[in-house]
Amino acid sequence: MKLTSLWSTFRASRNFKWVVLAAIVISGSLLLLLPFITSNTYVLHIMISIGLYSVLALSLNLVTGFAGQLSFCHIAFYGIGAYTGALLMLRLNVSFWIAMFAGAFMAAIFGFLLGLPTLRLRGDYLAIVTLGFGEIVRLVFVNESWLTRGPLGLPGVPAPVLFGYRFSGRVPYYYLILVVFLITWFIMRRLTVSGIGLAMLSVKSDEIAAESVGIRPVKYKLMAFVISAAIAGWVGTFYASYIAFVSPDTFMYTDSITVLAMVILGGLGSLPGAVVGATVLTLIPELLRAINEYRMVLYGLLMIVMMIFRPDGFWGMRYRVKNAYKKTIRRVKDD
Amino acid sequence: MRIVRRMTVLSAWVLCLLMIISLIGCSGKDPSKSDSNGGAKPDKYYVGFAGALTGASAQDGESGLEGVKLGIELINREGGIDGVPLELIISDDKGDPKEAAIVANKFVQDSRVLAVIGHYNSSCTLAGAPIYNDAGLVEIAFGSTSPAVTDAGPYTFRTVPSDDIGARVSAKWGFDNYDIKKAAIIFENNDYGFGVSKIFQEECQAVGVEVVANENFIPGETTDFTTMLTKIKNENADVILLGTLYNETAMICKQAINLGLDVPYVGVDALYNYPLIELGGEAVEGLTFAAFYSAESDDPVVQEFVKKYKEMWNDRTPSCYSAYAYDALSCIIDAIRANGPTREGIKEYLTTMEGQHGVSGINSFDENGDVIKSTIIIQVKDGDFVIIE
Amino acid sequence: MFLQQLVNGLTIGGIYALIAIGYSLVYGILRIVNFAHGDIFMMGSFFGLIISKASGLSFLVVAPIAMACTGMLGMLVERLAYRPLRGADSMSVLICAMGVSTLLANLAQLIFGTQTHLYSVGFQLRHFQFGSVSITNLQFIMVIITVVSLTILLAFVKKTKFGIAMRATSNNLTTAKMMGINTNIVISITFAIGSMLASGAGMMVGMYYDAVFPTMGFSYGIKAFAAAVLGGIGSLPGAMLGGLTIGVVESLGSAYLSSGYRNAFAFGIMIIVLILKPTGIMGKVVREKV
Repeated sequence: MKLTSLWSTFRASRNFKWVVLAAIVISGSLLLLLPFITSNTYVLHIMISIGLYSVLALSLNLVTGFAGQLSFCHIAFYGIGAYTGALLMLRLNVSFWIAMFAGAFMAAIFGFLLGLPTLRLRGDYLAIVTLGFGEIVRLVFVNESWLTRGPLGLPGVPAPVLFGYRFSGRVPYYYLILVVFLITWFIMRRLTVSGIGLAMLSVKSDEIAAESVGIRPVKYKLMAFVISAAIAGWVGTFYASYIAFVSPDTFMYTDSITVLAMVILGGLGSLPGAVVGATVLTLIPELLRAINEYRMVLYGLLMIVMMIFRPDGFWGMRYRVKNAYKKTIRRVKDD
Repeated sequence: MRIVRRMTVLSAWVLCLLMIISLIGCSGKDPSKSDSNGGAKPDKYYVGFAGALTGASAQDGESGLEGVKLGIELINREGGIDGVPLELIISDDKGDPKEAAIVANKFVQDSRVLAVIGHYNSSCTLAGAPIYNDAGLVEIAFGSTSPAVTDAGPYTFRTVPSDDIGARVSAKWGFDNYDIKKAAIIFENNDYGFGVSKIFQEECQAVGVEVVANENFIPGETTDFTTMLTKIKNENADVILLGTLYNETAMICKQAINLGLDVPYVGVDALYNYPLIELGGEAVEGLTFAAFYSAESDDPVVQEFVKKYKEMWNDRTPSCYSAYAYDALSCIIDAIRANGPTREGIKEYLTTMEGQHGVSGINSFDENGDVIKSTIIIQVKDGDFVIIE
Repeated sequence: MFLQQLVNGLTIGGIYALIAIGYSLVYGILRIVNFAHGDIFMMGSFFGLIISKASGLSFLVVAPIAMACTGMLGMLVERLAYRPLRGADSMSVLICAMGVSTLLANLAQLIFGTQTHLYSVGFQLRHFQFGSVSITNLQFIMVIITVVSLTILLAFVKKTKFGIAMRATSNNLTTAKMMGINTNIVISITFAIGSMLASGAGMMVGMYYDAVFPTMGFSYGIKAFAAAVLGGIGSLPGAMLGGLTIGVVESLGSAYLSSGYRNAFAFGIMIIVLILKPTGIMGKVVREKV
C-alpha cells in the first residue's frame, strides 16, 4: 500500500516527466557511447544481435500484434533479403546501400504473395500455411544451387562502403544497426499510432465489426504483411554483409518461432515489448552458455515459466490498454 | 493492481539492463589490456572447444569432444605443458552458423583462450572464420570437410582432409573393383553431402559412368529412404555412392534390404564410426570407403590412443572425429611447447609444422591450412572395419 | 515402380495419420495447437525401447505399458504447461507449447544420448513379393493397427458416455461445465488418448526404420500437423485422410520430381488445398456470428 501511494504521488508529480526524460537520455547516450565504453567484440556482437532481432520482432509485431495474423515464416523474408542482397553484391557488384533496398523490395514481393492466401484463411490455418511457406523458401535456397550455391552457402559477402570508408570490425556495424533500429522504430511508431494502426487493431479484434464500419480487412492484412516482410528483408541484407556468409541453415523455421516468441513474450502490439522480448530471448541463451548441454533444456523451461506467469507478455495489451486508449483519444482530438 | 503491473514492466527493463551488464561482466577481459603481465607464467593454459553438442549433428560434436577431453586428461596426467596444466573451455554452436559466430566472438574476446578446436560443421567454420582471422586466433576444424574451408584464411586450419581427397579415392576404388555402368548417388543436403556428391558426379563423368539417380535428404530428421531406394532399384543402378553419415547410412542399407535391393555401397571417410556397424548390422556388410584413420592400424601411436580412449570412455572405440579432434589438440600442445603460450606463436608454429605424427595420420598443414594424409581403403567385413588396401 | 511408391507413401502416411489424430483431438477441444505433440511421439518411441530393453518382455506386453507411460506424459504436460494458461490468448499457449517442445527434445538428448538407437525389440521381419511390389509383414500390421485404433476411437467418441462428454466439451467448454461435465478430466483424458496414439506411431516408426533419435520428433510433428490441417483440423476421419494424402504426395513427388523438395511437396499440397477449401478437406465450415 505504501509503495502504491508512493508511486502514484511520484507519477502525479511534476518531476515525473523529467525523470522519464532523463532515463531516456541516459540510456540513449549509453547505447550511443557503448563502443567507447567497451571494446569487447563479444559484447558488441551480442548487442548487434539484439538490434537485429529487435528489428525483426518489431516488424513481425505489425503482422501478429496489430493485424492479428499468426506468421511462422518471418525468418524466410529475412533470408530472402539476405540472399537477394548477397547475390547482388557478389555477382553484380551492386553497392550495399542499393542491395539493402533491393532485399527489402524482393521480400516485400514475397510478403505480398504470402499475404494473398490470408484473404481466405484465418488463425491456425494461416499459421501452418506460413510454416509451410517458410520451409519451401528454405528448400529453394538449398536446392537451386545454380543460383545460391546450395548448402555450401555464399561466403565473402562484401562490407558496406560509406563515403570511401569500408566497414570493418564491429563498431560501424553497431552504429548502422542502431540507425536501422531507430528508423524501424520510427516507422512502426508512426504507423501504429495512425489510423492504419487503429484499423489493423480493429481487424485483429473483430474482422466483421471492422468491415461494418468500412475498414477492409484484406487491405490492412496485406499491408501488414508487405511492410513487415520489407523490413525483415532490409535487415536481412545487413546480416549478410555483417556475417559475410549466408547459408540456408541460418533460416530454419525454429528461428521464425524464436522471433515469434520474442513478440509474444514482449507483449503483442507493443513496441517496447518487442524490444524487451528480443533482448531477453537473445541474452538468456548467452548467459546460460556455461552449462552447455543443459542450456536448451533450461531455455525451454524458462519459456514455459514465463508464459505461465505472464501470459500476455511483459508489455501485453491487458496491462496498458487504458493508457493507450486515452492517448489515442487525445490524438484524435488534436487532429 | 496497476501499480504492480507497472512495477513488473519496470523490472523487465531493469532485468534487460542487468543481463547486459552481467554479459559484459562474464565475457572475460579485453585481450589488449591483459598482455601487460606477459612475463609471468599463468597458472593454466586455456584451449577452446567449439562444436555441435545439441541439435542434429550433436553425436559427432560429442565424439570430437570426447577425443579432446582424453587429450587434456593425458597431458595433465603428465603434469601439463612445462608444468602448467591445460584447461578446456567448451562452447556449443548447435551446428548453427549464427550461433557459431557468437561462439567465435566469445572465444576471440576471451584473452585466456590460446587456440580453438572446432568447429565441426563446415558452415559453422566458415561463419566463424572471418572473426577468428580478424582477431588472429587459430581455429583447427575437426569435421569441416567442405572444399570452401581451404580459402577461409591463414588462421583456419583443419586436421580432417578436404572431401576432395577422400571422395575421389573412394569413387576410383569403386570403379576399379566393381563392374559399374550405372551409379546412383545419395547425399545429405548440407555442405558436406553436397560437396561429396559433386565430386562423385565429376568422377563418374571422368570414367563414363552414367548417374541414374542423384537423391538427397535433410539430415537429422529423415527416417524414410524407401522412396529414393525404390527409384534406384527401378533404374537398375550397379552401385550406390553415399555422401552420408553413419546413422542415415545404416537406415538406407536396411531399408534397401526390405525393398529387395542388393547393390554394393561406396562411401567416404566420415563413415568410420563403430555405431555404423551396431546400427547397420548385416545390412552394411561390404560397404567400402577410403579413410585416413583406423583404430585397426598397427601404428603404436594409434594403438596407445585407442587403448586410453577405451579406458576413459566406457570401452567404446574412437570414431574418426575423436581422432581428428585429438590430433588438433596435439598440434596445439606441440605449438605451445615450441613457441610459448601466445596466439601468434601457435599460428607461426602450425604454418611451419612438419610431419606431426598424429593418430589420424601424419599432420602437415599446407599454405592454406589443409592437411594431406595418406588414404587407406576400409571395408565392413564380418561386423568389423577391415583395412583392405 | 508406381505401386511400390504408393505403398511406401501409404505406410508413412499411416504414421502421419496416427500423430495427426492427436493434434485434431486436442484442437477440437481446446482450440490450441499442441506443438509438443511431435516430441511426445518421439518420447513414446523411446519409452517402448527402454521398457523393452529393461524388462525383456515380449513387445505385445511392452507396447501397452509404453503407451500408458506416454499417456501419462501427455497428461503431465497438459497439467503443468497448458492448464495454467486456460483462457489465455491462444498465441501465449502456442509459445508455451514451443517451450515444452524444446524442453522435451533436449531432455531426451540428455537422458538417451544424442546418438541414433537401434530399435531391437525382437520383431521378426518377413518380406513378401507381389509382382514388382515388396511388402514386409510389419507394414501389414501397421495398416491393421492404424485402421483398428481409428475405428475404436471413432466408436469411443460416438457411442460412449465419455465420448459424448468429449464432444460436448469440444462444442462449448463453458456450457459443458454447466451441464456437470468435469471438463478438466475430459481434457486430461483427451491429451492421454492423443499421446497414446502418438506413442503407438512412435513404436511403429522405431520398428519399421529400426532407429530412433531425439531430434526426429519435430519433423514428424509438423508434417502431422500439416496433415491434420489438410484434412480439416478437429475432424478424425479428416486427420486420417490428410495423413495418407501427405504421405502419398511426398513419396510420389520426391520419386518423380525431385527428392530435395520432399517437404515442399507435403506443404505445397496442403497450401493448395487450403487455398481452394480454407477449412481443409473434411473440416466443418463454421458460420461466424455477427
